[in-house]
Parts: sequence; C-alpha cells; structure tokens
Amino acid sequence: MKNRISLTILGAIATLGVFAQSTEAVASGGFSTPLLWIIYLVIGLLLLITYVLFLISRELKRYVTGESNTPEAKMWDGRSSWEKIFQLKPVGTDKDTLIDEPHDGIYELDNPPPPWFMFLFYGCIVIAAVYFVRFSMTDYGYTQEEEYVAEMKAAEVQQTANVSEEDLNIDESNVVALTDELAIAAGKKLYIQNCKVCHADGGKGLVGPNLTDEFWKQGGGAKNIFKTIKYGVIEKGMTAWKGTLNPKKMQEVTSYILSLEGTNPEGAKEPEGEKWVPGEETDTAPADSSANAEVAVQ
Amino acid sequence: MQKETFNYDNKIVRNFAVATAIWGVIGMLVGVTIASQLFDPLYNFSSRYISFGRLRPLHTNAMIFAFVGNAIFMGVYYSLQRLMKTRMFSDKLSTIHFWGWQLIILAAVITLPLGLTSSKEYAELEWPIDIAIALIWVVFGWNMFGTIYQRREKHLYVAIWFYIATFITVAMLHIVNSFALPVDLFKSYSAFAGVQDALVQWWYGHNAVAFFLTTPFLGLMYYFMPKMANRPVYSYKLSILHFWSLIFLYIWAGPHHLLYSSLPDWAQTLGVVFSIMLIAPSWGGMLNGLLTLRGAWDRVRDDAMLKFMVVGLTCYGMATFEGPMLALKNVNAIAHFTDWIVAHVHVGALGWNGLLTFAILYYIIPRIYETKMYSKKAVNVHFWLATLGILFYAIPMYFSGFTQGLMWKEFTVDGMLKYPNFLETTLQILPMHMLRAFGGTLYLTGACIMVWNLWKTARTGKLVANEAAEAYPMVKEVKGEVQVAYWHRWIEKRPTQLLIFSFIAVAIGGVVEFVPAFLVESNVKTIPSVTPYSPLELEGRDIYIREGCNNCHSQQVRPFRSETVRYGEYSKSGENVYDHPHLWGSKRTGPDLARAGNTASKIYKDAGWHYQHMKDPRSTSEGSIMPAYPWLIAEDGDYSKIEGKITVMRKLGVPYVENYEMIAQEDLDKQAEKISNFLLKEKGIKVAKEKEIVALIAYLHKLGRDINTKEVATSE
Repeated sequence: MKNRISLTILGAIATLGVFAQSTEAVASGGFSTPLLWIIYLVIGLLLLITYVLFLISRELKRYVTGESNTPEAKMWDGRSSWEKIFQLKPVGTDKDTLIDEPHDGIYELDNPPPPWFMFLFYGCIVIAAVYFVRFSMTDYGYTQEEEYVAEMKAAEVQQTANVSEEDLNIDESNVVALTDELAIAAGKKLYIQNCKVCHADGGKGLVGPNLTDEFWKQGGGAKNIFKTIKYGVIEKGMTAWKGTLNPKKMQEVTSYILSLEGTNPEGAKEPEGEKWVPGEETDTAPADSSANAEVAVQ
Repeated sequence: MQKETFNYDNKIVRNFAVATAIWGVIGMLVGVTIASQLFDPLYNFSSRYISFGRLRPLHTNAMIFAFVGNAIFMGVYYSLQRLMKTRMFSDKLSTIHFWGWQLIILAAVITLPLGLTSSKEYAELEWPIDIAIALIWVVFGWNMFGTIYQRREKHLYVAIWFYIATFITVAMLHIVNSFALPVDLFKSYSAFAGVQDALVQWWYGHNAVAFFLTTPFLGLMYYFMPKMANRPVYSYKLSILHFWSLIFLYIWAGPHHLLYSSLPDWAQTLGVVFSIMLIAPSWGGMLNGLLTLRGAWDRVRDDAMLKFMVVGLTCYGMATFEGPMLALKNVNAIAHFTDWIVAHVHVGALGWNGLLTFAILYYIIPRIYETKMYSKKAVNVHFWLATLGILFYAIPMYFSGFTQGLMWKEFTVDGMLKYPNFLETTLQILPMHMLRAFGGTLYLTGACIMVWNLWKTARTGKLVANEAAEAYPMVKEVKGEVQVAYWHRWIEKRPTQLLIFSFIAVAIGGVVEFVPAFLVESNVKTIPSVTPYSPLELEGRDIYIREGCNNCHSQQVRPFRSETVRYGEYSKSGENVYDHPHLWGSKRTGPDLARAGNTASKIYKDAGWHYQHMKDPRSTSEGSIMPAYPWLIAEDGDYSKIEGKITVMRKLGVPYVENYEMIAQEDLDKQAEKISNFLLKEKGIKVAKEKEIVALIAYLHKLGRDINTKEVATSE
C-alpha cells in the first residue's frame, strides 16, 4: 500500500511539469530550465531513499517477528528479482487462480493485473486529463500559433542582440557601399550561403541575372541593390531577405555584389535590364513589392 | 451426452499460409528495392513502373494487406475452428475469401506500378478495388460469424473478441475513408477535401495500424502463445481491461499524425491525450503474453519459435511506448517527416507482425502436415537473421532521423539556417540508408530460408486436409438459472452483443472528432483569394498523384521558424479547401512543396528549373536521390477527361462556374501555351504545350500561391 502512495506522489510531481512550462519555456524550444530538472532529481532521490528505508524496515520487522519462516513466505521470498520488480505472485500459486473452463486446452488464470500496471493505466489517464484541461479549457495553455509568435520574437531579439543601433538603422535611403576587405569578405560569405543558388558563383548569373555587368533590371548602385535584396522582386522569383538578414548583413552583401562589377567571369549570363549610369538616382525598383515582402517574413 | 465428431478445414489454413509466405517475400523484395533507391537513384532503373513514388505504395500495401493480411486469415481460420469446436461455417465462403483476397492483391500489384492510385496513404487502391475489398471483407465476416453461431463452446475466448473488433472496425474505417466520386473506372476524387480529408485519412491510417496490424495479432497471440508455451494465460481480468480500453482509445489518436499542421488545435490535443492514455492498454497485451511464459522461460532458450514470440512482443512493447512519445508535440516537432517515423513503424512491422507471423507459420505447418520442422537449425538461423535485420534497419534509421530532424532546425549564431540547402541534409544520411537496405536484406534472407524450410517440411509430411475432432454439443442454458460468474462472462456468450458493443466503442472517437471538424465553420477558416485549380493545374495535380510525388514531398509548412524561413508562410487550413484528396504527405525525403508556387518563398523555382530538374535531377541538384522523369517531357498528356473531372469536382463542392467544363479544354490549352512560350522565350527550352511536364509545372506553380494576394488585399 505504502509504495502505491509513494508512486502516486511521484506521479503527481511528474504531472506538475505539464503546468510548469510557461510561455517563456516555449520560446526556448519547449524545454524547462535546468533548475527545474535539478529539483525533480532531488525529489526523486529523496523518494527513492525513503522507499529503500521502508523496504529495509519491513524486512527487519519480518525477521524479528519470525514471519519469514512460514512455507508461504518462503515461496514469496523465493521469487526472482524480476518477479519482485513486477510485483507478481509466485508461479507456485497459479493453481489457486486457475479458471476451470479451458478453450481448446488453453487455461486462464484469475490473476489481477499487476498493481504497477494499474498505476500506469490510471496515471496516464490523469496526465491526459490534466493536459487536455490545460490546453483546451484554460488560459494556461497556448495554441501553436502563439508558440510560433513567441519563437519568432525570441529569434528577432537574438538576431539583433549584437548589432549596434547605428547598423540597425541602415536602410535603402542611407546605405553606402563598404569597400574594406573585411566587409567584402563577410558579404561574399553571405552571398555563397544565400544567393549562389540562383545567381551562381561570382555573380555570373543562372536563374537570376548576371550581377557582374553594368546592366541592372532593378537599378544599380548601392541603394537600389540594397532595396532589391531587402524587399525582393516577388513576381520574378527574387526573395525578400529582410526577415533573414539584418540591415548590416544586407549592406555587406550589397558591397560584395558591387565589388563584382567588371570581373567578367567565364560563362557569364547575357546582360539583362538597362545600363546603369552611376550618379543617376532614378528609382526603378518596384515600389509595390514591399507589401508582398511583408508576407514572406511574417 | 454424446460427443459429436467433425473435421477441421486445414486446407484453407494451408492456402493462406502459402500466400503469406509468397507475398511476404515479394513485399520484402520490393522493400529492399525502394530502400536501395533511397541511397542511389540508379535503382529506379529509369523505369516509370518501378520508380520510388509508385513502388513505395506497392511495398506498404503488399506488407500490410498481402503479408500481414494473409497471416491474419491463416491464424484466424486455424484458431477459430479449434476455439469454437467446429469446422468453418462454409467451405465455399472460405474459398471465395481466399481467392478474392489474392485477386485484390494481384490487382494492386498491377495498378499501383501503372500509377493508378488515390494517393491516400495505405489506401491507395482505386475505387473498384476498394469495393472488392469491402465485399471480400464481408465474406470473411460472414464466414466468421457463421462459424461462431454454430459453435460447441459456450464462451468466446479473448482471441475471438479481438477478431470480432477487428472485423467491424476495419469495415468501418475502410468504407468511410474510401468515400470518393469516380471520374472513370481508374480515377476518382476523395469525397473529403483538405484538412477534413487529412483528418479522415489519418483516422483511417492510424487505425489501420491499430485494427489490422495490432488487434488481430493480439488475438493470434492469445491463442498461439499459451499453445506454444503450454502455459495458462496470466490474467483473464487484464485481457478484459486491455481489450476494451485498447479498442475504445485507439480510434481517437489519429490526429497525432497531424501535429503542428493546420488541423485545429483542439483536434491535435485530442490526438495527444489519447495517445498518452494508450500506453497502458497496449502494454496490457504485451504483459499478458510475456507473463504467460512464466514457468516456461527455460524453454525459450531452446525453442526458436518462442524466441520469435518473445522478441516480437518486446518489439510491440517498444513501438507502443515510442508511439505515444512521438505523439508529444515537442518530440513530434523533431521526429515528424524524418526517418525516425520509418524506424518506428518498422520496429512494429518487422518485429511484431513479422516475427509473430514467422512463429505462427512454424507452429502451424508441421501440425497440419503431421510432421516435424525439416530443420530446427534453419529456424534458429532465421531467428538471428531476422533479429539482426531489425537492428540493422532500426538503429541507422533512428540515427538518420535525429540527424536530419536536427539539421532542418539548426540556426547559425547570426540567425540563419545552418543548412539552407535541403539537399545537404539528405546527403548527410545516405550512409544510414545503405545500412538500412543491408538490414532489410538480412531480414529478407531469413524469410527466404523460412520458405525453403517450410517447403521441405511440407514435403516430408502429408497435408491433413480434414482433421478429425470431437466435442460435446453446446447445452442451451435454462433461463433464470442462478449463475455466479464474473460480469464479463455475460457478453462472452453473446457474439452479436459483443459485435455491437465493440462497434459502439470504436465509433465514438470518430464521431466526436469528425462532426465538429465538418460542421463547425471556424475549424477551416476561409481565405477568399484561394481559387480552385485551373484545368491544366488539375491535370498536373493528377500527374503529381500518379507519380506518387507525395511519398517524398510533404505539402504542409509547420508553424516553426525553421520552416517558415526555409519554405515561407506556414500552411493554413483555408488553403486546401479544394484539395480532393489532400496531398500533405507524411515524409520529407525531399523538401516541402506547400509553397512551391509562391514566388516569395525560397523554395520557388521557375519553369526552366523544373524542366531541367524533372529531366535530370542531378543537373540542378548535385547528388540528389530523386528519380528522373524523362517521360513527362517526352509524352503528351491525356486530357480527354478534363470535362468529367471538372464536373466531379463541382459535385464535390468546388465552385467552378456553371458549364465551365465546356470551355475547360480551351483554358487548358491557353495556359499550357503560355508556359510553353515562357520556356522557349526566356529559357530557350523547346517543349510542346501538350507535354505532361507543362501541366506539372502549372500545378507546382499553383502551390501555396493564392495566399499572397489575400495578404496584400488585407494589408492595403
């Protein structure tokens, strides 16, 4: 009886975990903090020690009172460790529980299901009920949409954590091409990761246009290129990158692309768009694509 | 009272046994083939008939309905006669059942490679075959109940409760899930659409596992385990408890296949909680089986048949614990769409169904041939090959599943996907796929040894086609007679009531989940900008279905950052309202395609790319394991049925304007010409507008596109 009580307590503590997960925990991927696990571990250990002490005292009592000398007690003590763990009766007692109606020679025993099994059975139902009530009937639960919003928010915080205020404020109206080697190298790395698939190695063009000539479909120069990267050209298949790259990174990619002009790589795609004359600040990038871009990053 | 004499029909048992063995080997061979295709596309042999998308459904159908199905019938026909102390009700029905079932399988073997498929997982067969299945299933039920009603035993043993529940539930699942409207003899559209179709499909799919792979085998276990071990069943009360709880709870858990999809949250929650509650009822069967072996464990060491049973039951226990764990949302987030799920089902299929079937074959064949197994050593070798095969299969697949699942989700410190190119994550797991194919080969080798051994055994003996038996006739109970018995004894004497109560138990879950999902509008939020498929897109979709693209490409972006960054906006239920059937898929061997037509998505590719990719996937994606589809480029599409297709879709509720079918062909031509012109002008690719590739591109460019316009509309 006593171990059933301890199991119940253990189960109750385990179910607490279902409540303990807050939305912050969800944002970090649904896992609880290490502290919570340490508390679980300590409580678990304490319960285990209590249980072992209980077993020792019971054995002592049996030994002192001489209970352990009856033939039946010997049969129970003679069980294998597995039988003890699974709380099973000794095989020798089978005949007492035999139901006398065989089916094609198959007999059935009238053993009750092992107590731990019943605990598992009801325990799962309790956990399921708690889960259901929490997620379907109370405000303590959260929908998958809320989970998603929290995840995106956490990502935004993390992405902009190490970026200076100044860099965050870079946009298509104030962007300038960087010329230092470090920035160009950073831009190249980003280009290889993200742009190469469509614009090919070294910007020679593949699905997307050639980026090494002086012809531009959406306008050349740092400001136009930055804008094209940021908002994309949705109808032509150019992705909007503003949700993925922070402004500083888009500036780096812009700078790398500008550094490619005139490289004339082998197998470059034919020029597309109009010749870009530097200094000519006409805005040819589509203005309406920003609305579409909004969708892509939401 | 005089004992009556009668005969058991062993011939029908033998027939089903032969069918089990033959289809088993064929199904496993197909399995090893598709496993090889998953590390080297060479094994598609450039043939449309054996490309992965068409062969994979053949493998699953062959294993479930041919191998396991025939094994069920073999075991039921053997045990039912003996438990009821009577011959089968009608030899004629037995024969119709046997040959009918084999013809259905043959029809599957022919139609699936031809690309005739409904695309619904584990229910791919087209409507005429579905009807045949229903009819033959009724023949089976009729024969079973006929036998039960003429029994000489008063009480129905627990095995028979499971047989009855299996019969009624499979009938219900099969009929509801197969609701479809035919276009012609070989083509139909599911009556349900989108999220509702997905819900029905996984109610079916999940419970096909429950009531075709689990409950009948529990019934068989309850008969053959005590017989083999010669020990009493451990607990009668446990069998009552786990029978009723299992069949009642299982039905509800289907939505756990749709976690984080656009299925409403409440339905997903039901899927989770009922999966958790299933742990104990599932384990009840394993426990009762393993505890039945108490006092006979020493024999397990020497008797390979018992070894099969023990490992099989253990696999069952592992799979049924793992299942509920996979149904927890945070585990599912990583595991879903990966090889982990494939590992999970194979622990169940190879371990539980496979090993139990082998044990039962080894038990039955020598008995009905009145002889001993030809080679005990070969049985032992088979056991070790099968066990090693399972290990070589499962362990690499778990590893592969974790690896890929984690790679998909990994971000770099600066907030970008670490593996933005999906292909990278595929290439990473190819060595695991090789090991898996090796594991499968071991398992197949074991099965071949078994077939040889059983053949030799049969040759040394002689089939006892009609086995003599005797039993006392059943005594009618006098009404009002005082009986002191356990309450459950009441229903054990009443097969009809048992059937009815089982049906009630299994019907509740489906009703509670379906009624609100179908009737409450808020469950599928309408998106005004989502339009029905154009005729060309619809034809392209049918090509997508024919080639089985959905076997490797899901169409469901889950609401995770790692997925919206990779694929674009997450999927909404309102986007799939015209999808008869849904094509969400359950596995991502390739990337998700839900946003393939949305130009704002990074997954978007233009028509030229698709053309090159279908012609030779390696030309655009180096190392890709996708098969090539040159026939889509070489051959003209057959669009002669477009009129009928539009009409059927309208009947199913897709709002095509009146008489649209009259101009559908014209619209189809126009759109095809546009794509063909684009390819010529922009990409320099010459492709006639009649070619199938044009329709497929049109369909791919429709995927996930409509949502854009809507978002713009609301934001303006």
